Amino acid sequence: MEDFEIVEMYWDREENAIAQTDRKYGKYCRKIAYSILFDREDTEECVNDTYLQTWNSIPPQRPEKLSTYVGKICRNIAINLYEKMSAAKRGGTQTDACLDEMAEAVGRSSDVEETLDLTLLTDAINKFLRRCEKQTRIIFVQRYWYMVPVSRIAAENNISESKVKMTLLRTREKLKEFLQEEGYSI
Amino acid sequence: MKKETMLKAFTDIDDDLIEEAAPAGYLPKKKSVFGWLNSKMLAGAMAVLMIAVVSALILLNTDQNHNVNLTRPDIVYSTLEEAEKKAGFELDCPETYHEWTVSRISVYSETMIEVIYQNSAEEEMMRVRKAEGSDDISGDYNHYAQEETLQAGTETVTAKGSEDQFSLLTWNDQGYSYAVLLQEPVSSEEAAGIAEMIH
Repeated sequence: MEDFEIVEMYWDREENAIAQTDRKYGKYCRKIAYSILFDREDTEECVNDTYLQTWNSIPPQRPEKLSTYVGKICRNIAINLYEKMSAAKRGGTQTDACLDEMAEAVGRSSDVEETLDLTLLTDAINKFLRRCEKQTRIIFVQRYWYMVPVSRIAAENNISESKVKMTLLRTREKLKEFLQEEGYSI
Repeated sequence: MKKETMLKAFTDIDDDLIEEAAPAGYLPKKKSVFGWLNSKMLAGAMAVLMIAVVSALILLNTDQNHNVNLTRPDIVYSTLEEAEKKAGFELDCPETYHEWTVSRISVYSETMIEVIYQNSAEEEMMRVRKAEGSDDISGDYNHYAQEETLQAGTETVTAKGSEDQFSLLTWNDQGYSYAVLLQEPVSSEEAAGIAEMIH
């Protein structure tokens, strides 16, 4: 089914909309969630919550790309669930590795409350990514959006792991500079 | 800035950037756009399609028996309870489905329970299998043009068939392997419904 047909089913409140979403993007959501949570039960919980949130948000939303719409919902839920997991369960996952790498670009966690406008920060990130070369951008998004391991990124892009790591390092440094220029305190 | 803040802000980047970077196997394949296919590629694709169609026609004209590698059952039982005692585990499956009724209950090698359903004309319509472990117990090694992953309750089911009609369902759950073989293919919704009835 095309995305617009599935979205119409949500608008018509047809419960089959969820089954169709799962059929088309269930694998996509599970891969996103598992990359963050590394636990099959938590992944299923996250995906089920994704469908519930999708059902509750369409209408009034009418997304053009259903893939990224549910993907973003799923990623948000997975990150929130990840943050709730006990400290004993954390450590050694791709999410931890990505967070540690991201900390280099933006600093460590702080006890200081932040009042950042996430929308503006997202706009800045979009602006930065569009300035990057295509392969660099793909590598960066694969690592920090999809949380894909470095080895898989290397295989996907037919380059060495060391090149992936170097690309990520340089891009994080450039992102830090860019955000500072945009007025963010890093 | 908190690294977690950055991670969250990253979530809402533009859709085209997310889609552009989707790793292989994440998103369903899009329908081919002939604009980027040159004539040689198109000719090659048509040749592959013809070979696939001919192969499918040959397969369809052969024996429709799913069970390429079937061994004879050790014992046939008159009740499911007796089969469960022999195999050492329980099998939840419907007593009837549509107008089909259970025609045979068997145990293979003391490890696999099989229940066969027949229609009113005594033709086999469905086989349900359950065994300990994670191996494929369907015994069906046919090539299917389409393979989909369905969600049946908490189970993730692999459904095989063609043109959105499926005749082989397999899945694993809590240390057991399951297989359902259907003489007449069914839709994905019905396939998921059948799998959900079996535990």
